[in-house]
This record gives sequence, C-alpha cells and structure tokens, in this order.
Amino acid sequence: MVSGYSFSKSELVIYPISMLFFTFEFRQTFGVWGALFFLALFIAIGYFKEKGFQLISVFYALYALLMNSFLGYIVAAPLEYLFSLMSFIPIEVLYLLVAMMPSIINYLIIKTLEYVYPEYPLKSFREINDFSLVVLVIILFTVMGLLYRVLTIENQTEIVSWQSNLLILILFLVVVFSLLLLNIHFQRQKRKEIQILKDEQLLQLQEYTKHVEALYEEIHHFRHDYINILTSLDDGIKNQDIKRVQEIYESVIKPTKQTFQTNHFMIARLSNILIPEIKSLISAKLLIARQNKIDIHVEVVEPIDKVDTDLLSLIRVLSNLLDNAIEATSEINDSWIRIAMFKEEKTVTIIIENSILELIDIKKINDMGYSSKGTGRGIGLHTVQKILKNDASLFLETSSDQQVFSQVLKIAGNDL
Amino acid sequence: MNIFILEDDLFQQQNLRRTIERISQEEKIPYKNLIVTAKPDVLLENLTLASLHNLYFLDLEIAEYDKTGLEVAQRIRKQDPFGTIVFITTHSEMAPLTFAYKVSALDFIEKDQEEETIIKRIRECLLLANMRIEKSISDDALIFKNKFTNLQVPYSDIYYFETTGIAHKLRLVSKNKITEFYGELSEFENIDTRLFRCHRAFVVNLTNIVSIDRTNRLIMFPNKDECNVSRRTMKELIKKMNQ
Repeated sequence: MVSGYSFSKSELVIYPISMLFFTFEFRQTFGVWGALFFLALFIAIGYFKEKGFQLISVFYALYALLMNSFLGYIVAAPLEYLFSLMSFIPIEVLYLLVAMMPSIINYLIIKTLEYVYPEYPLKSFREINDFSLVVLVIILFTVMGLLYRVLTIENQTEIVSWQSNLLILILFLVVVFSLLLLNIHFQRQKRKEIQILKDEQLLQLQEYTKHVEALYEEIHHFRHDYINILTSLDDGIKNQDIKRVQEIYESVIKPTKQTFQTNHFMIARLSNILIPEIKSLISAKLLIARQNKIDIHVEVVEPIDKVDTDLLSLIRVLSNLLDNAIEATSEINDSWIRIAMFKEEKTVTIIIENSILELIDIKKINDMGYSSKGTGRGIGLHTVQKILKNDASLFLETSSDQQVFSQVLKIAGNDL
Repeated sequence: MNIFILEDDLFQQQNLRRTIERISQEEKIPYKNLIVTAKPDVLLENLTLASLHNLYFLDLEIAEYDKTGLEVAQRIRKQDPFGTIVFITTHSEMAPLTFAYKVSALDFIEKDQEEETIIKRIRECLLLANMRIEKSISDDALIFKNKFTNLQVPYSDIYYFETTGIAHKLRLVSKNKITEFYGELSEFENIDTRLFRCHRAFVVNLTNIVSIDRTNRLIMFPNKDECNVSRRTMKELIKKMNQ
C-alpha cells in the first residue's frame, strides 16, 4: 500500500487474512518474536516484488510494522474502553478491530497526505538510494527495539506506567520526525536536480537558437544567390540560348538540392517539439553527434505539445538513450543516428536508432557496465532500466539486427 | 493483388503508371486492376471492392485537399492490414521511421532523384509486394491490440512474456527484441495453444523451449534466459512438451 507494489486480487485477500489469523492465534505470546516474524515476512514480500533484495523493502517493512504497533497501541485503549461500555459484543470482535484499525488509519493518513500534498508521496522514497536511507533504517530499527522492550515489560507487569507511555510517545515522535526529515531531504535533492537540469536546458536552448540563426543566414544567402541565378536564366531564355540554360541548371541549380539535405537542416526539424526541455536536450545531443561526424536524421511530423509523464524521468531516460547512441556511433565511418517523435491517440512515441557493425546482445546491454566498447562504459542503459522499473507510464522496446540498433520509447500517460 | 496510385501531378501520375505496367510485364507480376487517381476519395471508395494484399503508391502531399497521404494510409490500413504501402515524396517530407511505425509503410521513394533510381525502387517494391502475397499464408504472427499497444510478432520469434513488478506493465522477450507494453499476463494464456502459463509471472512459448530443468523447475530459452515453473504446472508442461 505504502510502497506502491502491485498486488494481485488473491494476494490482497490472502496476506491480510493470514496476518489476522496469525495475530489472533498468538495474541497471548505475540511479542518480539512475532514482530521479527512479521518483519521478515514483509521483507520477503518486498524481495519477491522487487525480484531481488533492496534496502527500500527493509524500510517499508519497518515502516509498516512500526506504524502498526504505534497506531495499534493508540487505538487499543479507547477501543477497550468502548467495549467495556458495550459488554454484549464478544471480546473477539475487539481483537479483530484492534488488529484492523492500524492499517485502516494508516491507509487514511496516507491517502489524505497524497491528496493534500500530491508531491510528497511515500512512494517517491524508492527513488532515493543513498546514505540517508541507511540512517533512517538504523533509526527505525533502534526505535523498534526500544518499543518492543517497553511493551514486553509492560505486558509482564500488567501496569501501564506514565513513563512507558511517555517513552512510547517520544519514540513515535522520533519516527514521524525522521520520516519528515528524510522527506525534506528528498525534496531538496529533487529540487536541486531540477535546477541543474534547468540551467543545462538554458544553455542548450541558446545553442539551438545560435544554430537556427545560422540556418537563417544560410537561407538568406541562398535567396540572394537565387535572384542572381534567375537573372542569368532570364538572360539565357530571352536569347533562346538553351545551352546556357542547361549549363546554369547543371552547375548552379542542381547542387542547391544538397543545401537542404544536409545535417544541419535536420536539427531545424525539432521545431515541432513544443516542450522546451525535450527540444533542448535532443538538439544538444544532435549537435554533439554532428561534431562527431555522425550522420543524423530527424522526424517530427506533427507538433508535440505535451507528454503526460514525469518530465524528470523522461529527460533522464532520453538523455541516456541518446548518449548511448552517440557512444556507439562515434569514431566509426559512415555511422548514423535516426530520431523520430510522433503521436498516436493516447501515446507519444520516440524512436532512437543507430547504425551498428554487428548484432548486439540486447539481453546483456542492460547489465551494469556492459558496453560493446569495452568495460567502464554502459552505465547509462542500466540507469534507464532502473528508472523504467519504477515508472508505469514509460514503455521501452529494444531490438537489434545486423545493421540497426533500435530503442522505441512509448509514453502512455499517467491516466492509465 | 490490385495496384493503386494516388498522385495529383498528372505528368508524374502517368509516368508512374507506365513504369509499373512495364515492370510488371517484365517481371511477370500478375495484378487484377491498376487504379490511378488524383483524389483520395476515389481511392478510398475503390478500397471496398479490393482484395487483400494490395499495393499502394501514395503521394504524401495532395494539393487542395485536406486529407494528407498519411491519413489516407491510415484508412487503408484499417481495411487492408496486410497491404503494401509505398510513399512517393520529396526529400523534405521524408519521415520513414514515423510512417514505418504508424502504418507499416514499406518504402519511401524520393521524387527528386535520378529516374533510374526511382525505377529501380519501384521494381523492388513490386517484387516484394508480390512475394508477400505468396508468403503471407504461412506467415503466422501474434497480433495484440489495445489503446496503448499494437503488437505484431511472429510466433517463431516469441520466447516468453513476463511481469515487471508494475501493474499492467508486461515484458515480451523475443528473438533480438525486448518489448515492454501495457497488458495483463492472463490475456495471453489462452490466445494460442503454443503459449502456456507456467508460473504466476511467466507465459512461455512451448515451441521455443530449449530444455527443462525438472529439479530446479526452470525452462531454458535459445538466448540462455531462464523462466521459473511453478510446482503446480510442471506436470502439465511436461505433458504438453511430449505431445
């Protein structure tokens, strides 16, 4: 629920029921061991869902368990009081309610948070994978240890002392506070990343503008030449000098066809992309490709004004795919890159193709550090896979034959 | 096979017609009708009479007409999914990647190049379209469509489908191609007898299995990928493989 894992319907039914059953059966002996059991269970669920062990699933496991314990502790007393008023209800219903309440409350809290602050979801924690998460996990672990120590002592003595209540309150605050801190840290990190991207984008747009201005210059020149050509053609026609007309056509007019087929007019085709972040990124990469003597071909046949996805993820994926294409084609004679971007009903598709010299093992390229150009490179596609793993709106198709390596990125929109 | 030509420049139109007639005589390519027009509507009307696997030569930009060649191509695609579409256009309008993807256009022939090259390309297209008719009967592919997806993969290339950990996001691993797309694994269970759900997370193509490891309950594929088999389905899998 918190983690954003997708559960099938049967799983959704089986997990809570088995958990309820477990709590119910062992309510007398439920203590540290029970908690550890659940912790292991949650981590195991995370392991299966992520298809591998991730620190983040430890965090989710700890979070689920702690929230359950705290909220359970908080609701237990009032519920018990309520039940003491209505003694006709069997005591089993009380246990059931106490067991279910925490998840319900937790669900409500998270939904409200997501509703009020859509940009602060706990799901986004999965994008952080650094030191701060380790610290948080350690804090949560310590809190859990202390909490269960207090609870076991309390269970044994059967007296609820105000000290232990205070301690539990403090622990609860520690958890909430550390979650808040991590969230702030995460937001700051993200804002920093966006700022860096924005600065980069500004530079790239300036480059693009320079390029388009140069193109304008070129067309301006051509217009000047064109009028001269017309004048001399006019002359030839007036004098019925077909030989001269032929000469002018062969030597002057025919070559102008080339002017408009060269690489730098291709970049002007990006004008149909109306999303500045994407336009600037692609133009910057294509200018690099051109410097590396790579033949480029661009197709944007219709205006693209919006993509319905997280722009930051998209930019990172695109940037890696383009870098990969440039890396694969640099320093190779007659190499080329082709890019197309177009709409279809609800999806925007971006195709990036590059020439290759031999069939590429598409299974291996996504591995960390694999590259057809030797070790130390190829981290890019691994990053792409990591982003795609967490994004429900981006779909990638990778294929290769003997001459062409192709990546097709489909952006399906968030309203799936 | 019928051959359609959509071209609004009369001179180019007649030129193209003559070229096609000559080549099909030389190469002995049989066709029922050769329909030549400058109006997209005329072409689309004639479509209903047409047989499948037609060959279309379309000009991308038709002057004084609001339907572009692409729209016409999309209409054609709806009625004749296996027809061969060739665009005839100028260099500045060239967008082969886009049109290959959108309407599976076969080729682009540039108007502004040497006549010999143009004739050579037309010949290639005619030969290929003719070959497609003969081949298409044996060509059997998985076709899967929804609002975000348009899959068309030959069964011989399919290795397996798997879940990705994100709801509705599936991955198809085939020969030289990995495709992520929107769908449910259960949609592929009963689509064809060659496909088999061997695990919660996998649907495999039985005809491309290289070997089965019974002790570790794994299926091996030509690209050295492995898929898990659940205990429940192992027996059925072995039975199906022995058939």
